[in-house]
Amino acid sequence: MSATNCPYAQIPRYTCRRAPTPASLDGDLDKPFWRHIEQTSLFADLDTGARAHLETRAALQWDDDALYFGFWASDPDVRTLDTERAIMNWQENAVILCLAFPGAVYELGVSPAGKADALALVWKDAYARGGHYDVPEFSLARLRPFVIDETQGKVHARGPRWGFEKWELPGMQAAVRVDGVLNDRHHVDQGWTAEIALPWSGMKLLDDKEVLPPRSGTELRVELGRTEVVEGPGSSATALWTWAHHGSSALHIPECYPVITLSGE
Amino acid sequence: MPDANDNWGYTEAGLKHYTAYRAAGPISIDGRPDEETWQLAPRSPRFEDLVDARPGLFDTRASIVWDDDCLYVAFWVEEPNIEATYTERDSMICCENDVEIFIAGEHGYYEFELNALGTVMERFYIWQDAYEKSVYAEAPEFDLLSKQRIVTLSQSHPRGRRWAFLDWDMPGMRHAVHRNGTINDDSDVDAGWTVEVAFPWQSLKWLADGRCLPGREGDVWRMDLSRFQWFTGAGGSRVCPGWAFNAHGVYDSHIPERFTYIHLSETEVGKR
Repeated sequence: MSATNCPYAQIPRYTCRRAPTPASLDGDLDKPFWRHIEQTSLFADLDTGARAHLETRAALQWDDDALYFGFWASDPDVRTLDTERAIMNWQENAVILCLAFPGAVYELGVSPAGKADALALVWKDAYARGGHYDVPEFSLARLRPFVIDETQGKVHARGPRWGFEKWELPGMQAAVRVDGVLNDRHHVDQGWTAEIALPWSGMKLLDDKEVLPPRSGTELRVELGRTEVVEGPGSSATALWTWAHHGSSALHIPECYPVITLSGE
Repeated sequence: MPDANDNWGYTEAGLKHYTAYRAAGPISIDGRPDEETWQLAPRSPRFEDLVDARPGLFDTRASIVWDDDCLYVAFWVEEPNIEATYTERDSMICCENDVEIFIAGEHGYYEFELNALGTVMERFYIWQDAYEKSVYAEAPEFDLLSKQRIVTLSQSHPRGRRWAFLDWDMPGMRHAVHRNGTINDDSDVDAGWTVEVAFPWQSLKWLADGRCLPGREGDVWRMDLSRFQWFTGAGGSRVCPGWAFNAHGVYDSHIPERFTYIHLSETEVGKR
């Protein structure tokens, strides 16, 4: 029920080029660093692929230090609850990135307030005593993860995963810039941008099969998305728009994630 | 935020106390609590609604006794139409009508669910906040990296998540059901069913926290005895009220702070 909804031939592909200049992370995507970079297609509904009511695009590039993400999120009403906790509960507006390694998925969300929250999901079948994930950063007893996909392969046929909340990828940096007035419900805004750097060194914790260090030709599985709270009379809902179409409402299906190929160019 | 020092925010209001006496003779686990012991043992009041303590719609009562080997629980369950279909061990018994027993230790608790076919679900829960420094961390049967099915339970309890060991079975536990009526036949009116369960003291070691096994005069155990009953409303909507020895104030069995106090007495039943 998982991978079958995402035929490999239909998964988005993206060539991630080397950054032309050193990075300086401030949320501004108008600077030369992000010029002439190929953008993704418009994000759409995760499940149905239906057009989103707000435009979101992203771009990626890399250098020897890190993988860089830029997000452009149009939004006439940029607002935030300004708490980290709401991000992973999808109660907050945020841009989302998911990075899959053979044994783990990392999910990061960044709100228009610049707050970040992250989750690491480690496949139970990849977590062996004395193995790659048997380290303090993934201590089951001390970090008290939750378990997703409990018994019946409901989320993914591969089975259960340990879910580590508030998991910090070492060296992760995120910055945002709002083109408008944050949380002023009467001001019509343009939107907001986010700039995120994930250092390769920090990713090693997730990388149980030595996909890294990065080289020209390295393939990564990366999903990008956006959560947007939609208010209705007396209630609200959260839209989840992603780069790839998953054909289900499950975000954490690595087989659906776009294929990113690093290019030395 | 409530913490352990204020009982995680749960009050003592409405908690009931029960004295479990020693059995007067052997108890045969056949689902018929007709031994003299059961006739002499105190019977619980009619179970009350888990949330608001109103009397349960169907009469449900329980008794507890013990001997050197086991702690015994009996249920008398009124049910005009006995229904149950699950026959596989560790099915989600609570998706149908059932009786349930919880036994709490300081950092973990045991759950037992039973339907009118005699099918059981057992689970063992350990509070995540205590696991690392507890006796459980060194126990092979609670090894988080073992092949058994382990999930997490995160209902609203302020203490947080629990590790749930789905494959855990209590060694030596015995149970039986006797039906006084026809099962899955709504053409007649049934009287109900009765239950007998025996929990070996030595198998309660993970919950004893230093208490004697077998128990001793004056020992106090915390147990939740309850029963859940499904009803169908117009349009097929279903509701499932829970009726317990004492109310929890919330629709959640998994609140050890709201479990009934069970006081052990070395006096034999009927001799008090």
